Amino acid sequence: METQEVVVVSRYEFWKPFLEEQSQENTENLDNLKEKSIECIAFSNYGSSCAGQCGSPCG
Amino acid sequence: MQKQETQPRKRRFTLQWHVTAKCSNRCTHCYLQNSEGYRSEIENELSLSDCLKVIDDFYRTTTAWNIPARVNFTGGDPLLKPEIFNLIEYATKKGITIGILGNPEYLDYKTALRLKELGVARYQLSIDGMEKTHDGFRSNGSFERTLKGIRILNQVGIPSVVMFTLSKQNTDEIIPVIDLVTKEKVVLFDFARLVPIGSGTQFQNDMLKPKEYRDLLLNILEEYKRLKEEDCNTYFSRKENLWKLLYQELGLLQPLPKDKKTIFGGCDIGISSLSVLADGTVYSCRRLPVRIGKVPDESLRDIFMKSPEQNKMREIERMEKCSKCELFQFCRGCPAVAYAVSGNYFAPDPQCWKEL
Repeated sequence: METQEVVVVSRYEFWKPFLEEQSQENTENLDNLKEKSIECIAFSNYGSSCAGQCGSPCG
Repeated sequence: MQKQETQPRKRRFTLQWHVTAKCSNRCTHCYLQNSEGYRSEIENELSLSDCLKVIDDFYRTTTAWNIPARVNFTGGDPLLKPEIFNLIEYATKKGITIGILGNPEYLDYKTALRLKELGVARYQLSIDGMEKTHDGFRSNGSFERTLKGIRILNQVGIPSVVMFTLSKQNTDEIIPVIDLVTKEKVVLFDFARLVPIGSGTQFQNDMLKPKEYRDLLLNILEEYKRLKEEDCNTYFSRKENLWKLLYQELGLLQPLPKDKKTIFGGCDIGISSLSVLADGTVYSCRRLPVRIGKVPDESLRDIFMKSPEQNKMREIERMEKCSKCELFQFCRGCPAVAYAVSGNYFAPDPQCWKEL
């Protein structure tokens, strides 16, 4: 889900379990990305310009 | 069946899809016939190829959101859509839960069996009164055909649902109908207020007054309680948002949460559903005839998240009465009824009895 979409639905209790699940997945993804960034592997999820989404120093 | 009431509701994003406007009935309160878009729905019905695109789009969207999907095929009479079985099969193979909101006219045993084999999860029929009243609304013989349809559904094992469209014309018959559906072993019963749009516009000046409606809900609640004490197996769903107001007045609501921001329930426009008409026009709710997009030209995802009209509907703090009510996070009445009566979906629900 895109950030803008999260903003649209985040106030609704109906969506919270899905947002929480996604949030966990994102955390896991970010953890994976951080590991990858240490090895300077390209961030396939974000394209060649990572823009620092993973929070690693190289961003 | 008792267990169902204690189980949490399954969260699904629902597409109510009017795949055809064709219908063998001419119900006096139909929201479709005599509506502004009716002619277009008849003349510009989506082709099979476009319908499959819509299913693909819905599947892609709900998968991206990681949210289970349900499509309720309806009409008109969805069984009059020649490709309805193709659509059901295509959708179920993608893991989409399928319901049918239909008529009894073409629901014979063979058809029901085929629907069962395709995995249809429920089939909803309408009963709007006892025989004379119901047939007066719909067509001669409709009442008997509907009972026959319920029995066929029960026979093949498709959960049967009965919906009662409530207006001043049939108020006195809802309790007898509730008793009837329990005897017929209907799996789920609920009612919805008539929204005076389409052919139903003629009933606009004949709606239940707020206090009359409250009294009726009290009577219905008593009947539900009585039947549950008798261990009836029918589940009485409560889609009417104003139940919460009545429950609060009766002391049946749990204390309201400290969280005053989250929207916990109530009217689900802009939250968990969309309606698609036969020509691809998209509404937020079928009973709120405000166009928010068109499929397959636009994606359901973009329509739901980005349509200016849809986002305006989400500005629920603009609701003139509900925004001041302590049940705002749980109820918000029926904006479709408000819109039908006043042309403004932020106007007060004309049948809400709460005095602020």
